[in-house]
Amino acid sequence: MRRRIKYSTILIHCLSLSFGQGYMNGLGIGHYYDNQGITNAGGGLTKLLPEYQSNVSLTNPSTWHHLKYTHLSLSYGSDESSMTEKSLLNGYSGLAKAVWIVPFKSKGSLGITISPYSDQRISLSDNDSTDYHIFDDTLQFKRSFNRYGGIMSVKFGASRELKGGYGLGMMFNMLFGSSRQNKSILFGGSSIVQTSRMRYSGLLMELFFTYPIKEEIKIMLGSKQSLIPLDALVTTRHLFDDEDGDGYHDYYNSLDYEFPNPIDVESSIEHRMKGVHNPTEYLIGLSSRLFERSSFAVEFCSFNDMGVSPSVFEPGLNDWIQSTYDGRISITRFPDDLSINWMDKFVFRTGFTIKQHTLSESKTMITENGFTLGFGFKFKVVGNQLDVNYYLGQRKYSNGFNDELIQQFQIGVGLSDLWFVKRRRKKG
Amino acid sequence: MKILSFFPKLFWASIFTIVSWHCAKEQPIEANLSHLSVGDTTLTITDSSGYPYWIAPTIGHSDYLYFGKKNGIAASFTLVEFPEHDAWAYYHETSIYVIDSIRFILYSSDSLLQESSTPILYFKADSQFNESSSMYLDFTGFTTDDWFSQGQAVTKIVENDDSTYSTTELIWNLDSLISVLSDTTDSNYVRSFALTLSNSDTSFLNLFSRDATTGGKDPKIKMYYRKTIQVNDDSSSVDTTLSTIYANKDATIIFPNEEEVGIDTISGVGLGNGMRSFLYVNFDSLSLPEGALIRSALLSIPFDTSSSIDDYWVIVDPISEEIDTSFIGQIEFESDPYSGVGLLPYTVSKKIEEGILEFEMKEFLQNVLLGHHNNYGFKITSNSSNDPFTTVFFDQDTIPVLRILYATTD
Repeated sequence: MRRRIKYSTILIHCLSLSFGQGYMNGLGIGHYYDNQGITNAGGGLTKLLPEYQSNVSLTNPSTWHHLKYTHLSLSYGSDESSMTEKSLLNGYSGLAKAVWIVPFKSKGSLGITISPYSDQRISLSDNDSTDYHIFDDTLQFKRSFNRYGGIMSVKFGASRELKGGYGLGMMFNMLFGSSRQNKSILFGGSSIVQTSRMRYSGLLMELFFTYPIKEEIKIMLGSKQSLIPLDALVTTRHLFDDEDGDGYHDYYNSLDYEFPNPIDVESSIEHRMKGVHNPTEYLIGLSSRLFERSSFAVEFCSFNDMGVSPSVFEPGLNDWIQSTYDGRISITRFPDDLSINWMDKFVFRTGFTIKQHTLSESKTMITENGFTLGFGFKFKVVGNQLDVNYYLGQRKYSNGFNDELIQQFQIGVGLSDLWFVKRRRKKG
Repeated sequence: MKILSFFPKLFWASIFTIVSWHCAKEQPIEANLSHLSVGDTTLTITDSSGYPYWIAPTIGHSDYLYFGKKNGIAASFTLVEFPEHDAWAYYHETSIYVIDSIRFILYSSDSLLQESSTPILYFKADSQFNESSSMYLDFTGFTTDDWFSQGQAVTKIVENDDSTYSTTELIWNLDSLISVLSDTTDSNYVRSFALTLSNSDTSFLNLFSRDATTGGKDPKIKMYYRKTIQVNDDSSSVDTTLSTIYANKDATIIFPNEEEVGIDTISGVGLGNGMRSFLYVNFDSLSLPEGALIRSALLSIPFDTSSSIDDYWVIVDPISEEIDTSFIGQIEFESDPYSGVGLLPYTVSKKIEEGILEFEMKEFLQNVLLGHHNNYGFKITSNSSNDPFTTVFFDQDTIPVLRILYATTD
């Protein structure tokens, strides 16, 4: 187990964003990971409600202490976004989430989660080029915008079981990341580019509470607030003529460089933008056992972003998500831990989600309907698990933008081991 | 077993590779980007001023040596100087060297050049001049009366291997000067020659200067001699050979057209008249928004087509220092009072095309915008490769225009 953890730790360092470019990548600080399908292969559609194991949700710390063993979960996902009428296809794959939870005698737990928070990768170009008559010459004029990078999230969570079966969980979510964006205007042969770099930092706090109405029915609550709203340190460079189109201001020697001479332009201008992202989120979910090993879950989430308008660094589409409401229904069939029949070791998950995002500037409504289907296989006494999930969704934009078809495939592995157990020393 | 333990490691290494590898495909999304602050705009500046000024002309680095008068500009005489050379001592080493002959040679591209049209060659020791800066004012009252005259040249047609015309050699006999030229007692001995057209000859002539070629048609002295080589104690051989001594300085002293010098009504440039122009275009660090990038900055100077010649090369050089106020109002100088940058990429040399001179000034103006340089104006001069007897003038009816296309983030 420890060797597996060691190798898995190496994999953690190779985390990358796991969803492809889409329209929402160009909004605000990027496309929130939570808005793209499922967040974890073993987690299913909901954030609060147990879908990983019968009492455990990997994304709700107030349930973590129900794990019997120290647990490491890794998810790898691939996303594809296609726009139905324009034959545009974008895709990306990479490691999605890593969760490491250490339970303490079913009374409490500590955990670390690493995952992407937002994907800022976007490549935009003007709808059409424009002809300008300038100084007896006709120049074609076209703008483009490219942004790379994103924001990562490292969460430190803890849980505590209270009397009566209540569960309390808390998570501190450190946000960090960087992105680089190029605004360019193509005219007269090559592009004039302005490069900006943003470095982000922020701290959120999430609280979770599990309220068991009965043994088989539970209400779960969650909230997210900013302790330190996300700041962006923006570094802006001077415009330059990108002759070779590589997006970098090249210098070869004193007479060969991309105009203007990089030595002549002053060093980058820095300014700090405070509170570009200040989220508030409330979640409420209801989980009910249907049959012996099945459960039904309903969850509702309300999200608001009170961040200031990011007009200085211009997020590409000049708008951002101000509020999101989404509802999810899922049905999960858990494995039978006591059965020796291998067919009873499978987990089946399915669910539907409806999301509605409202943009701040244009008041555009983005509606997404999604469906997920997944299964897992539990093996070994300690409860290792292999999960696979597929998500299919359709996004519609009220501003007439092309509908998007979202597909996501995730595969995850969860490894468990027994820690903090006194072992007898071998004699001799 | 080690083999069995290898496979799990291989498995995890493969997993590591797979999850580290990013598979991505991206196609740009079309959207309305009119909100982006990057945009372009133009600025036309017609607010300019200028005036002509004159300096004493120097054409020491021209490709030709000139003789005669054209357009009122007189190429009165040409000076050529030769350096120290081992061959000058051969005359004194009579046991080894026997000087057979010594010839002074210049070259012309005129296949019909008559000997009677060739200039007269004069020699005088220690007559010094500066190829770059010697001007007509240094030679007020110059006369060749106390110079040794070698008369006019003998011409010789040189043909190529295919019997086509190559060049005309003008050859002067210097045998009578061998002892004077071979003076080695003075280490600073200067061997200077002067050439002038004979008084009765009113023709115009140009010969190749040392700047025209890399030696083939440079002014030169050829010394033909025999050298005795001692083979052993009993025998020796005689080698007939020559030494070539190339000129290290040459310059034509040119006298401007006094009727044109000082006429400040029209700006222009001319090498032989020493005519230059100062031009100021009203552009400073506040002319464009902060952070703007100049895409192109074309300065268009229209020339009078009746005087201008296409392919006439003009240099525009930004003035690097604040202009001394004592120069204001003065237009005639011995040497150029304005210091130019003189370096690429700010200093630009372009030729007149269809009566218009257009320069790309964005390198300089961008640095004015960035605050690295001040705009003190430009000095406009003739390229040294131009015909010195031609003067071109700005168009009086059309002012210079600076057209700037720039991008901004506002």
